[in-house]
Amino acid sequence: MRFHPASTRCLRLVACFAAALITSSAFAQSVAQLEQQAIRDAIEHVSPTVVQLQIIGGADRLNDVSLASGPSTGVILTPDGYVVTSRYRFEPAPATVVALLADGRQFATEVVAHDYSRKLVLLKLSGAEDLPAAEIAPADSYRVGQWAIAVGRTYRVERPNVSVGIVSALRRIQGRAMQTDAAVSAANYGGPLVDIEGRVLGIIAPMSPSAESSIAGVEWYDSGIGFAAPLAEWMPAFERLKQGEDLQLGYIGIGLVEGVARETPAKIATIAPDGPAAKAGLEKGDTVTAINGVPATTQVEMQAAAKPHYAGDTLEVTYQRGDETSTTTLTLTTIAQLQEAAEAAKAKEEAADEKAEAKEGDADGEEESNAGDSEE
Amino acid sequence: MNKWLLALAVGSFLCVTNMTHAQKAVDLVSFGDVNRYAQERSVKIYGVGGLRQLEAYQSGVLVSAEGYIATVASLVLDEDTVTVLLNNGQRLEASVVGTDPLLDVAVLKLDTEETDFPYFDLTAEQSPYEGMRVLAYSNLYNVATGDEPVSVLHGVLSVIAPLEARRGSFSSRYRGDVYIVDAATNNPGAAGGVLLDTSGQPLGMLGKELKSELTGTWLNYAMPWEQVSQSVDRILSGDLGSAIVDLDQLPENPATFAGLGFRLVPSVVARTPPYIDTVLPGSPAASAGLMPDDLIIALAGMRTGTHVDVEKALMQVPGDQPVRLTVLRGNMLVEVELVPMNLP
Repeated sequence: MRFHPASTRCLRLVACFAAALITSSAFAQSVAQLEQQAIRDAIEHVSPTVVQLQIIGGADRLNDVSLASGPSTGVILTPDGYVVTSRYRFEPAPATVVALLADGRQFATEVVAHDYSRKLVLLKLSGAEDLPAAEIAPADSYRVGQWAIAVGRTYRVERPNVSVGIVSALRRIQGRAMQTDAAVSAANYGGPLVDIEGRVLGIIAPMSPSAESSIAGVEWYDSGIGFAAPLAEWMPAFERLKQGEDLQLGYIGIGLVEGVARETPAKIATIAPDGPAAKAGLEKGDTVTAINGVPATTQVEMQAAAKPHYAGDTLEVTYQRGDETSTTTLTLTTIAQLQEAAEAAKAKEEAADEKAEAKEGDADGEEESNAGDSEE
Repeated sequence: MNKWLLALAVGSFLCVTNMTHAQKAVDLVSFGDVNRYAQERSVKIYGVGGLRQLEAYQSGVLVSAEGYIATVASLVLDEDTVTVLLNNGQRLEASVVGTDPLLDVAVLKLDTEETDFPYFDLTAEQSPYEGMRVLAYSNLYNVATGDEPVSVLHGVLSVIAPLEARRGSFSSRYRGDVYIVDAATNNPGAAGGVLLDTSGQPLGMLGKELKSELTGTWLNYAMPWEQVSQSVDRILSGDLGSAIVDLDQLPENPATFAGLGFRLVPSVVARTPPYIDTVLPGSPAASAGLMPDDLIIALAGMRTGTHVDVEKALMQVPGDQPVRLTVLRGNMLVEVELVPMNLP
């Protein structure tokens, strides 16, 4: 065969292009294969530490929302059988929970304590020893965009169910959760969100930025909006739960001025009577500027700095009053204690008013102080 | 040198063009190749739609060169003929050859003499695993019309698990394994589409809209290709009887509470836990050492979380055979075997 020089050149170009196409697609193929293998390995790595929880009894509906009826998922934290899971199926408490491992072992469990803020519950498997414990990804390894694999053990005991995505955002739900686009639902609530090495990033639970109930956020199932409580950051709380201490969201006892939360400074509009802020000497009109030394120039920043802490935690609050900046310490309280204190203060005030009325025979109605509805 | 280049160029050219009819999904390298391959074999199906508020469209795939199409059995196929849009926009009538009531698979035949349609190989075999990347092709929401390519979703295989699902009060008939995926395939019109691995091999047929009985959430799943293949065979051979025998085979004389000698605490709420209320003296339950307040968590290998679960499990156990129970007593799990009285 003879070729015209021009067509030979053309042919050479085609050939080069074809060769490039083949090598680049071969490369792409090998990357895809490596990626696939890494995902498989990550699942394999975490799988033995993921237990199925057979939930017996408990509600089938809560606040008009149907709850899942199948098994739930938990993660083994220690060889002696501490398991963390989501509170999703624990309100009201089920009659009992039986934990089933992939290797066929099964254990009776007892509830050790609840974390109402991060919506987790700590279980202890009775008589467990030598269990495989989850490897925890260090907090400084979290990166938006990294692989995130959600793992559950709902559909069958011997195999995990998985969904794959990325970490979409960090420090969501006022600093208490990371966000993922991996599909999360009752099929993996309580299970781990793991990185590409199979290390646990967080524990999957339904969460909502605007509500604290155990099922708030379930409406976002499989939507690309999922949350997990970062595990490395939670381990100090685990030590407290282990002692049987229930943990609740900590309240400062202040209401903030109205405004755009992302722009408006954390200026105090109301102080809950006898609450932590009141006891620490904070006053209406003060502006909170830092929590534990972390600057908070807006209400959102203040919430993100404060809400990860639990009732009972001590916070250092820096605030501005007029031109002066001061720092005070206070101990966070629960919403129930805050309401109780406010009611007691109100009752006391009313009693004082009645006394005054009785003395003077008549009195002008005094304006009641209002704690406001945006308690922090 | 030139000859060698020519061979290479022609070879690679052939490599690209040779993917029309031959079912060599294995050779497909790039996503573009796989996508072309899948689109050529995907069809859009339009029928009458049965009831109000139900869509009158669904997805399907070609499974033979003569124009046989596999899809799901549904109200869309209520009339004997439906309209099928091929990938190239060609509009053809198709007749319903038959449906398999167990798997809800239907086979259509394009009304044409053509015999060179590209198709998915019904004998393709895979070894899927959890975390495996998958592609789902379907005309969900009828987004694609005419010669527009159908929609492709990507995701992973979540788990291979039995189909425990329902729509409203209707339970799915097929209770075998399906491929649950993390892509949102559970949408109007998606049923009948195809689930592929990333090399273009068919893994399964996208199922109808169902909710999981375990999680209460919409289930994204596909019927395994092997099952679809068998179902198509049954339909084409007219041998549908063999499908029906797979349905629940309950024992004629199932185990009973009376026969085993215990009673549960009465069922008062939806999820009443199966606590034992009384054990009859001298009964199999008494001999096995069952006690009041024992909580039955498994019966004959079936997990029992409620009073109703125990009743259902009993119905599946022959009354004349020993039954294994796992009970929770205090915080101890105890395994017992109940041996019916009339056994030697």
